[in-house]
Amino acid sequence: MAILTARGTTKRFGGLLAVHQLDLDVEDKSIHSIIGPNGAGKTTFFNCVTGFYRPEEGEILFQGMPIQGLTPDRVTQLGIARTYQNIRLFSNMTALENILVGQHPHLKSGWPGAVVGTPSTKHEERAAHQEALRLLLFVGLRGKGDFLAKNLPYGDQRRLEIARALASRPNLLLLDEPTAGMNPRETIEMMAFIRRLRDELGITILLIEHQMRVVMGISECITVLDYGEKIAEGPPITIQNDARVIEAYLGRGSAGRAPGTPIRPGEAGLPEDSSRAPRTMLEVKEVHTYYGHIHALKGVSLTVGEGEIVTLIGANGAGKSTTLNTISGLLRPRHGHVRLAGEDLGVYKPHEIAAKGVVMVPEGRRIFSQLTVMENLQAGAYARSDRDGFARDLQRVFTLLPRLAERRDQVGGTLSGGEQQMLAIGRALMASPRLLLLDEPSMGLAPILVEQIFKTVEDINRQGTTILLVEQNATMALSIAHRGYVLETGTITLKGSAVELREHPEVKRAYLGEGT
Amino acid sequence: MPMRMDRQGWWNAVRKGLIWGGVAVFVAMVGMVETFAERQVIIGVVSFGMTLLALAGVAAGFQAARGPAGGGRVSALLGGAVAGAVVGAAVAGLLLVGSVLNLRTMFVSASPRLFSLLSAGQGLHGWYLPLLAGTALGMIAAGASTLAARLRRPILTGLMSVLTVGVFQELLQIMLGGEGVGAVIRDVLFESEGLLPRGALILFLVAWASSSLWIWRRAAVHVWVARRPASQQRGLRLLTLGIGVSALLLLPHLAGPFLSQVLVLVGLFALLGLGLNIVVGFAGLLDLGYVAFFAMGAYTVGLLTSTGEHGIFHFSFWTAVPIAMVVSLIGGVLLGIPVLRIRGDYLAIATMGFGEIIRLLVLSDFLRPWLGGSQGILAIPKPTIVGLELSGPEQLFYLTLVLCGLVVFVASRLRDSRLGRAWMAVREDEDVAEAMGINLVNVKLLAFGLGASFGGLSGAIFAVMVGSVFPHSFQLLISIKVLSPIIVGGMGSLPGVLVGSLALVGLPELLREFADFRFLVYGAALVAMMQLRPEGLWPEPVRKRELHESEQDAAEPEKVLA
Ligand SMILES: Nc1ncnc2c1ncn2[C@@H]1O[C@H](COP(=O)(O)OP(=O)(O)OP(=O)(O)O)[C@@H](O)[C@H]1O
Ligand SMILES: [Mg+2]
Repeated sequence: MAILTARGTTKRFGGLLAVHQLDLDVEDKSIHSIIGPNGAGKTTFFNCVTGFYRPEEGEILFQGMPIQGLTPDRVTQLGIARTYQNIRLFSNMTALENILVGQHPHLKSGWPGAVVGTPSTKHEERAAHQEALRLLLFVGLRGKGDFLAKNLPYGDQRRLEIARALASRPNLLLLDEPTAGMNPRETIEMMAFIRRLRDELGITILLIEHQMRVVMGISECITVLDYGEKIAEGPPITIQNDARVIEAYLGRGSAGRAPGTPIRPGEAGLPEDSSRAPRTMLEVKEVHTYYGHIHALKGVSLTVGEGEIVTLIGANGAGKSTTLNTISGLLRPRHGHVRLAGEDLGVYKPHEIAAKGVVMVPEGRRIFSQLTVMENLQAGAYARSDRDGFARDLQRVFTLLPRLAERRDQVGGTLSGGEQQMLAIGRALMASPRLLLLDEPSMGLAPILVEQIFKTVEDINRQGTTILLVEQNATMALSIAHRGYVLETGTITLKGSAVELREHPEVKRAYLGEGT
Repeated sequence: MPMRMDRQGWWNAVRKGLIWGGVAVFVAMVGMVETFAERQVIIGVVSFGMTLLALAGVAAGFQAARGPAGGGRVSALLGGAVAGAVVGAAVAGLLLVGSVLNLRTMFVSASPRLFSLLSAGQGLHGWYLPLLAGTALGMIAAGASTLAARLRRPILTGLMSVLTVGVFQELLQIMLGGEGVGAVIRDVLFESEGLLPRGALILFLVAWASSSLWIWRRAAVHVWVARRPASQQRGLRLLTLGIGVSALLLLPHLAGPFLSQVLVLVGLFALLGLGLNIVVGFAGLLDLGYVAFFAMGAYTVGLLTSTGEHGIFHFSFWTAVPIAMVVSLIGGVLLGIPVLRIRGDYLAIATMGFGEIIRLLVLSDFLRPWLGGSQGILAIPKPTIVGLELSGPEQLFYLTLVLCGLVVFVASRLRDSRLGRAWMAVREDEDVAEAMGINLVNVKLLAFGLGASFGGLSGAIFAVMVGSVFPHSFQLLISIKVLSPIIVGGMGSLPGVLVGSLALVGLPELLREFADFRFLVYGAALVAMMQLRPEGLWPEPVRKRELHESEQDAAEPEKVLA
């Protein structure tokens, strides 16, 4: 029996058909995935189901009851919960409080009872608190209940969002890219976790994902969207070999490739004949960075030579983003130095550091959401004055990411997640950086685009830009990098050439997801 | 290497000097130095006006030493001296320009008296004095900043005590009274119009010694307390609470009518602030029309209890208060309905309009027969309690104190309830909150309504405190005066509202000369807060709730959602 049924659902934005005549049946207690290129309309469909958008045509039935046009709070009360592609936690509330808010629909007590402190209110509060603690434990956040949501590392935020969704005791859970920003090992854990949700709690899962390993591994049924329309549907094995899906989404490269194989092993690298080490562009020396009392970086040292691609890999919360934020001046180290071509950056403000050519693509698509695509790109080029260079780089960005050219007048905040990621990368390229700091550029991108992005990174590197790359997709990162560092709980534990790291048993086990 | 300052360090020192020099010149030009010259901190030694100028030099030196110059003590001292000298130079420059040109045509406060003050009576010949003083102060401040906190804190505490006592000497002298131990203390410390040098010295030493003692023994005290059995710890806590409460109860007796009056005012604004805090701090709805509910409460009580021509029912205060709260609550909900879909800045403008509409309605000819137009409602009797009339400020103080306590209690209960969490969720992300099953309409209207009812409550007290109500008392500025303590105290924080009200309502009342500069000081305080402590004076602490209780269920993950 289908728990969720969509019939001819259509959602338009102006002239754009984001979802077009979509028919979909989600079987009760199944794990059902929706995949498709960036901007295919996946998130828009979620928004139609959960009451954020009202579809122009068609109907959506949940447990046989029409739900299109209901307000989001009503939909949640009926038993549908969701997570968000761009994590949307209540960032200034603690993890525990976030979960407590999730329980709102099935708590009963009113405010007069709370003011007076009636026994029933107290009892309900205590029970809610206990359940919140159990959920915290269930998603693996034990001991982090008192952290402000915004201070949790990215992967933990994703887990917390799921816990918050579970708190409303849903029958149907919509997950929008739950493994974005997770490394292979965490991804495997997440897959097991999603299975548990279904097997132990009997929750039906509707999943949007770009990581094929996940989609193919756990779904019973996959629906593929392209330009808002369904182009294929069926079990993983059928989808994997469907010509249209490969064409539109998976990309030729990955069709027969086992996950984890480098694109072009060994090819990347500095010209082999240059036996001398490159001149040091960036030197991070014994850096200690704190968040209040939390000692996040405990003496991190690394160097990036001119013309190199250096990658920094590590688990969630290891301090990778903190390292990049320290380099770009957004965070101040308490001890230690960051030097650019020998000059200490400690005295400069973030904008001055950016003006020196150190440009960052921040984690999680922090684009200017009120500005149009074009304005975002112009903002990226704020510090430069050369008209020709601007026009040339704009051309380069548009060739590289044609979707941005199509949408140059769309407001940033309304772009799909993947489109926003493209914009964040494009914006950084517009600054024509000397040193590009990339924080998880592949996050939320369709497989076909991930390959393109990595090729681009190699290209701009060949054209002379030095790159420091943080990436969960360690396989990809090590396939284009010259050297790499492994960061664990705020300290560098391993370093070496990309080839060495790829072969290192520890790295293989923990970050490449092999040999488990 | 640490002996030499690099270019960065010099530039930083000069920049800090320029900023604080600007502040010093500004303070002088708006007339604060001259006005506050009357108020002696230590008789014959230094006035409050001069202290303000001196503080600019101190701040510059302190910041310069703390800047990126880094390095050793010598470079810190040097930086402080430079920064202080720049401040001094700015003041000296003002002195020179002011003595040569007649600035008075543009700046009324640029009086000969000011320039005589700046040069210690020497006129143009004293031009070097500010320079010397600035350099010395900057250097001393820089030196202090390099001291270990253990040494620095007691000195700071000592100086602050002298400053506070000196500035408020008049009140303190009254409080100490004319006989007994108080009189002896007074004669040792004070003379008729101010703190004596010997008094200042004694005060400094006492404060310095107790602060040092505390810093030295603090850890030991904590350990000692922690080692007591739980029952004794509870006893200790009750004891401190008891001391605090009795101090508050005794306060009006010690303070006398004037201070009590000020405290009632502080309490009134704290009540208003606590109400507005629900709307702005908890639910994140910026409401600038809050004064309307203050007015509603006051007018309701006025109408229901007045013995004058507009009074209708001659109810007692105690009957009128709940009615006033209900009326304001309904007003809050009615305001809320049209603005439900409006967010952020637009909401502020819309609610501001609402506040003005209420005031204009009250002023209108149309409602004059009932509300008295600009004449207002007179002859509002004081409340009585078991036959006792709460007439003077001392008695009203107890009333506000009790109500404040009650409202703090209610607000904290609300904050920790399901509704409170829903409010915070709405504040953080309205769309997601709705998708968590929160009914935005209910939750927002409850915030507006409950917040408004507290506003009505303070309006009621205001009506009996003044004995009459006029539309003139309900200007837009009141809304801003209520909002400022919330921001300064820390958005959403209950103790923050109280501290903010004390600082922004109480202090200016005590320093009567401040009246002219009140909004200047408000503005400066807000800007300074945003710069130095954006989270507020007393921000809401992150509540720790997992650690105490998490252990017991740790073993049974399977039971989730059971
Ligand atoms: N509010 C809006 N206004 C205009 N266009 C929008 C709006 N929301 C989405 N779109 C457009 O609709 C298309 C579908 O967006 P959607 O977010 O559903 O994509 P998606 O399939 O989730 O992609 P991704 O994998 O990148 O997240 C995109 O091209 C997007 O730019
Ligand atoms: Mg999406």
